Parts: sequence; structure tokens; C-alpha cells
Amino acid sequence: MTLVQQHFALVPTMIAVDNLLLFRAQRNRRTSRVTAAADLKALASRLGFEIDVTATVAAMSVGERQRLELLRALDADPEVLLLDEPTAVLTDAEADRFLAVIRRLAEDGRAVVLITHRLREVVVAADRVAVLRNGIVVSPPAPVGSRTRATLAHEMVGAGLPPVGRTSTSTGRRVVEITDLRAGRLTVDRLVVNAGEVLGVAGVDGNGQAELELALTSLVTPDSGTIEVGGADVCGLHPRQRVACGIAYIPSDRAARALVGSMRCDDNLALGRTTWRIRRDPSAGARMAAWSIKGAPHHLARSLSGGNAQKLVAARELHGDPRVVVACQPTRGLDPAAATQLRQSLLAFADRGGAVLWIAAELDELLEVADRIVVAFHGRLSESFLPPFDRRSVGLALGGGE
Amino acid sequence: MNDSALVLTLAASMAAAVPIALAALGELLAERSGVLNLGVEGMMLIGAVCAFQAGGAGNLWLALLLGSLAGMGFSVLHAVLSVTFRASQIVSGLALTILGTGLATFVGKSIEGQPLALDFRPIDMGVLSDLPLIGPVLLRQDPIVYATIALAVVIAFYLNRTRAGLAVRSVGESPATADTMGVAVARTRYLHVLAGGFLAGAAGAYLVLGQVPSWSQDGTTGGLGWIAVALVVFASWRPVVVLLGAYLFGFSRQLNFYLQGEGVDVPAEFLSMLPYALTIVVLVIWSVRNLPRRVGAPAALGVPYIRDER
Repeated sequence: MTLVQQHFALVPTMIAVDNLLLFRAQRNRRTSRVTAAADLKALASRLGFEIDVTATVAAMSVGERQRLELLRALDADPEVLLLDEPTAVLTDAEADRFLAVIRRLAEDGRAVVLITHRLREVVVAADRVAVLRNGIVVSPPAPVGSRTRATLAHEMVGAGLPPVGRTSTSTGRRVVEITDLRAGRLTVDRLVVNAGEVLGVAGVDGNGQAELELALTSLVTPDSGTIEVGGADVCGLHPRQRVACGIAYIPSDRAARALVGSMRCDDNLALGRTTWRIRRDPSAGARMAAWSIKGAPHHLARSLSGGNAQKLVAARELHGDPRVVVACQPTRGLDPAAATQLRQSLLAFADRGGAVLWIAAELDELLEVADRIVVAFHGRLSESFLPPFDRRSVGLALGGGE
Repeated sequence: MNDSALVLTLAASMAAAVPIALAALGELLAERSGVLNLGVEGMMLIGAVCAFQAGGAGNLWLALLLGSLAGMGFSVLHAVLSVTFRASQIVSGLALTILGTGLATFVGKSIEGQPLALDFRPIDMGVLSDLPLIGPVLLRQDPIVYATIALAVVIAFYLNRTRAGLAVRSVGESPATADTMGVAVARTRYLHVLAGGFLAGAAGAYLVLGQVPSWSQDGTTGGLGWIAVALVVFASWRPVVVLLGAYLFGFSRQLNFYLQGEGVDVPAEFLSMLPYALTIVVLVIWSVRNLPRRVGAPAALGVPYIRDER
């Protein structure tokens, strides 16, 4: 039996084949690099994809890394393969390819256990499904059969996902106004986010969303153009002025940018506020409780689970009535309950008259929460899609079609 | 006689702890902001030789200030190399020590072995200073001894209870988050490396002004800068523990003289080793006992920060 973990267990500075050799050496199987490279290629082509065995892991895309991780796990020819959230970091297209490979492995006669929170994958790829909630098997393994995403989601959260329908509360007052922006690959002629509006930015990762995210939060100085928030240009400001300008930020790169893992939760809540302090904020515990974060103020942030950590970020950012929230993949990888809570609090923020710029790679979520959707493709933003959304035309825009 | 010699030993260890305490507190500041500076020994020597040269003018405080500023000026080199140019902090720090040693030897050539007439005087607290034991040990010390204690407390307060300290810790633990939350990462690191240099310079200056009133390149610091770096690690980056560790070092150093004076039949080489060995052994035990409480190195210590502009 071999295990593929959610977090990559590859040495980033080594090339693909050396990572395999390392793995083999640990199992007391010593082969030459040439043999290992040939094995790796053969295995990959049997599964229907190609791999550059001399590429450094650090230079690979996450999809390539995940496939390498899978190949390495298969190298020991296991009968049982345990996959823990293997698609968490993959885009939908990459995930589909990955699932196709998984299916082929199962047809080869291997037993595959797929741990996932993406319900679609269960419906698409699994033969049987078991549902776990809070460490308890709430529905024992049974054929997927006629179960749909909705019924699975219902089993997962128990009480059922409260429907998050959205009636626009846009007031037409402009909060964010981007004009003639150029930043790296990104070109935006004009983009407006109104008060009370949730603007969804869809698109496959790497089509300029990162540039938009970093430019809006002053982490990158755009090459040209203006970004006005509340009437004042925020281009080229220091990030410290971001909070003062009323821009809240839920970063996509959570591991590096969102929290200081080795500091306490209450200290993390205090980040970014400039007033002098002597005592720790006594309201931190109450704020965490209000967000139903499982943890105490004196716990280290890294001891929180993914969902609780993200709630802590949101608690910090939505505090003090910002004008706009730049939310980047805010619910990615979270358990359904936390994702729902986060979704609802962002929508509640918009209902109170805040502007939300919601960048997400998963289209389904945006279709559910957004008042308006633009699609990023090759560094450009599409025309706005308005509800009722036509899934097919938005989907086409994702691929660059008309 | 026996008793009073021991009291004198205790009293002297308070002052003997000052240089290592100052240097280690400075290093602690730099490391909490994420910059490892192995140039402490070099900065101390620069501070010492400059203070000694300046001491010729006859003003004790001016000499201390100039020594400290010299240490700070020297640390700019490390800040520029490791923060601005993101060079390896280990290499840059070692370069600082090697360069500092050479530079100090060169500058101090003309004063090698000369005595210095200046010395820090203890503060006389009248009757209080004459109290038995407490008087000579705690209430008859020079101002720098008290300043060092105050400094450790102030630094602990600064790091743990102020927003500025929160910013420093976030820079040392997760610079990308700090940057996102509006902390100026490079500026914070510069300031704390410079503060570390200032304190290392002060430590060197105090050595020649208060401890060994003469200059010799190999005898003045005697590896104290390295002990300071180790002290920060073993004290788990906590200022007050650093201070206590420094006292332990100072005490065992004076104990060495005391035991030699008492004619204890132990080789002198072993006795001179005592302060180094004892300090490290005690602090290793302390830090191992604290392992479960997770008081570790700043997570980004030694890692240059690059904002990933795409």
C-alpha cells in the first residue's frame, strides 16, 4: 500500500527522476538513474501522459508535481493506493486528467481510496462512497449509484447546506474603479466594482488573476494605469496604506501571506493595525467565538485547521468596516461548513454595502454568489456576464472562446 | 576573608556579564527580525578599538558612544549585504567577523598593550551600598550594569507587548504575511541589524572601558561574540533569559579567578574553560526542558525576503 499526501512530499531542488531514486533507495531498491528514468517514462505513457524526467520539481506546475507524486507512489506497484486530497491544488482541467488516470488504475485491478471534499470527483470517478463527518462515518461505503452532489453535500454537513441565493444589493455607487491598468501579463481597460456588489473574476489559474490580486493590494506596483478606491488612487502605495484605504484582503497564497503560523491567534488578529498597544486585545476571544473558530486566542495560528485559519483571516480583514474585500480563492480546500460560513459572511458584507471582488478558479461557486462575473483569459478580462448566468457561455469564455 | 572574597566575586560577576548581555541582546533583536548576524565578534572588536582610541580624549561617555556607533556603522555592511542584496547571511556575518578582527588589529596597532586611564565608577547609593551582600552585589555597580538590566526588560516588553514588536516578530516569522499586512520588511530588518550592531559596539566599548582597561586584539573579546550568538539560541530568543544566561557566564568567569585565588588544585586551563562550558551546559538543559513548549527560532531566520513579483 502506498500513500499520496495532500502536501507534496517531493524535494523541490531535485529533478523528477532523482525524487524517484530517493524513494527507491528508502525501500532498499537501488537502480541506476537511466533505469529509473526509463521506468518513470514507461509508467507515465501507460497512464496516458508524458513527463519530463529531467525537470526540476520546483519548475513544475502543481499538476505535473501531482502526477509525479502519483507515479512515484505507483513505482512500488501497490495493490492499494491511498490518495489524500490529491486534487486540492489542481485546476478543474488538471483534476479531470488526474481522475481519468485514477480510473485507469482501478480498471487495472488496483484498489484506490480517494479522500476528497470535491463532491464532483466522487460522482465522476468513484464506484463506492463513504461519508465522514467530524471523524465519524456517517454513511458507510455504498455504491455511488444515483447520488448527486447535492445529496452528498447534504450527508456531509448534516443539517444541509443553507441555500445561498443572491439578490443583488448593488447601489451603483462606485467603490473600485480600475482604468487602463497594465501589470505584467494583465491588461484591464476598465473595471468597476460597486458598493453592495459581488463581482466574480473567473478564469483558469495563471490568466492574470494573480496580477490583479497583487496590484489591488499594493503588493505589486502596476506598470501604468490607475486603481481608485473610494475616489483616491491606490497605485504604488505601500501595503501598510492598504488597510487605511479600506481594502480588506483574503490572499490566495494562504501558507505564505495570510497568517504568521508561529504567532498566537490574537497577535495575528492585531496584525496590520497601527495603533500603539500595551495589552493584548481582550476582545480577541469574543471575536474568534463570533466566527465559531475552534481555538483559543493564545493558541498558535498554525495549530488551527484550514477552515478555522481562513476564518481567522476573514475575522481580521472584515473587522473595522472596510470598503472592499479582495477575496482570492477564499473557500478553496475548506470543509463545506467553513466554506459556507465564509461565503455567507462575504455576502453579508456585500449586503451591508461593501464591495466584494471575488477571484475564484471554480466556476460553480461564482455562479452561486456573484452579481456579475468577468472572465480572465490570457491577461485580459471579458465583458461582464449578468444573471441569470448562462453556464455554457461563461464556460466558453474560460477557454477563450466567444 | 573567605566570605568577602566570595561577595566580591559575586559583585564583579554583575559587571562581567554586561558585555555578553549587551551583545546577545543586540543579536536577539536582529534575529527576531529574521537576520542572523555572525559578525558579533567583529562588531565588538571594532567597538572596542574605537572606544579605546576615543578614550584618549578623556571622556568616558563619549568613548562609549563612539564605540557603539562604530559597531553600528560596521553592521550596516551586513544589513546591506544580507537585506538589500540578499546575500547568504552566514557568509556575510562571518565576513564581518573576519574583517572586523583584521581592521581592529590594524587600527589598534599603535595602542597594543597600552593601559587606559578611564574607568566606569560605581554609583554610590550611600547607606544602601553598605548593606551586607546586597550592597556590594546589587547597589554598588556602575550605571551600565543597571542600564543593561533595564534594556533586557525593555526589549522583552517591546517585542511582546507593543505593535512595533508585533511587526518585528511577524517579519522574523513570516515576512510575506508581514509585507501583506503592511509592515516594511526591509526597513524593519535594517533597523534591528543596526540596533544589534550598536549594542555589540557598546559591548566591546564596555570591555575596554570597564573590564580590561587595555587593548589587545586577541585578548579583549576572547570569543565573547560567539558566546553571545550561542546564548541567544540557548535562551530561546527570550531577552530576560539571555540576561540570566549572561549572569551565569559572568559569574563562572569570576569564579575562575576566585578559585585560582583560593589556590584550588585544578589546572588553570580547566578553570578558564569553565564559563564557556558551564553556560552552555546549563542553557542546553534549560532549552531541552522547554522543548515541549515550542520556543523555537524565528521561522524565517536566515532567509532573505523576496517579494515574488510576477
